[in-house]
Amino acid sequence: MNINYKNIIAVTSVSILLGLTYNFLDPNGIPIIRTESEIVFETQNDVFEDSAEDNSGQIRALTTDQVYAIFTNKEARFVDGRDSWDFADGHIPGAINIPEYKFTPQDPSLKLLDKNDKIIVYCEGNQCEVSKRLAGELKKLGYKKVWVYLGGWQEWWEMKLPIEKDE
Amino acid sequence: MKNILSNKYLILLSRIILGFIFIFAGIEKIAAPENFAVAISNYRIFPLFSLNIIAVSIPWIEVVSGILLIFGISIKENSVIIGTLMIVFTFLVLTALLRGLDIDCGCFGTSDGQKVGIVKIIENIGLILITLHIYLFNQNSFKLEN
Repeated sequence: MNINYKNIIAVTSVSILLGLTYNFLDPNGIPIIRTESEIVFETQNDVFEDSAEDNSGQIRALTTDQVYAIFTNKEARFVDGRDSWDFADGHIPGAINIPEYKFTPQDPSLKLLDKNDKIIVYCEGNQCEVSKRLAGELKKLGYKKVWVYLGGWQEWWEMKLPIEKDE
Repeated sequence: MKNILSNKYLILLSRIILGFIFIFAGIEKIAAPENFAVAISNYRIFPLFSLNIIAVSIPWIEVVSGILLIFGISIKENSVIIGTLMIVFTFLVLTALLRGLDIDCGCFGTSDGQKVGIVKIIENIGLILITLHIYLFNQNSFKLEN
């Protein structure tokens, strides 16, 4: 087989170089080494204190106790990132369903949220990345007050907290 | 049979089809690198730190080799590159399918919601066959000097 391997190496290398260069110049560019956003648990006292710092690299997480307190005081909007079937089977009362797997910035459910709302995003539970990703997406769109309820639907359900179903 | 498959026009057709598919696929991913990185992460194969490097490299390899293929530059070598990519992609889709991952294939970025599944595998096999056609039967094809 008369394959010129040098050409293969050349095409591949030039392409990668172009990719890195374009990414560097691209306003939508992404960091070359991907890291996970740091998960920081919100301390009890300042859950809803207005923080001026931009915490975009951080995910601020809440425990079930904190979330339940916020829920009873009706202080925040809840966003359920699971798909619509899971949502219909049971969700936190008053939650809005924004399925993360098909999320786009044009998602009509976003109209139900105000950029100044306090938003708590949850998904199935501790193992799912969906709530973290969705929270990240919301923050990118300018929703500044976004928290993640890591315990998610699983913990809420296990603690027998109030639920709502769709028919 | 061999004469039909070696036909210059047929080879050119394969090159154009494959080339444009790859250029289009690459451009979609270049336009939305974060989406592509997330699509790759859904396969749960590559380590987190490597996702963005992959997401930034692969689309440009697709575009460049697609363009070169259409223009008839290093046809054999670019068919090897494209063929290798296609085999790797198909393998990844297959493993995702076997592991029960219900995810977007990420073949054209995320935009169109093509899912991992048998259909995608069959489509990919089709593309691999087209690539093989070029690789095995290209002789003195149309090139840039036209």
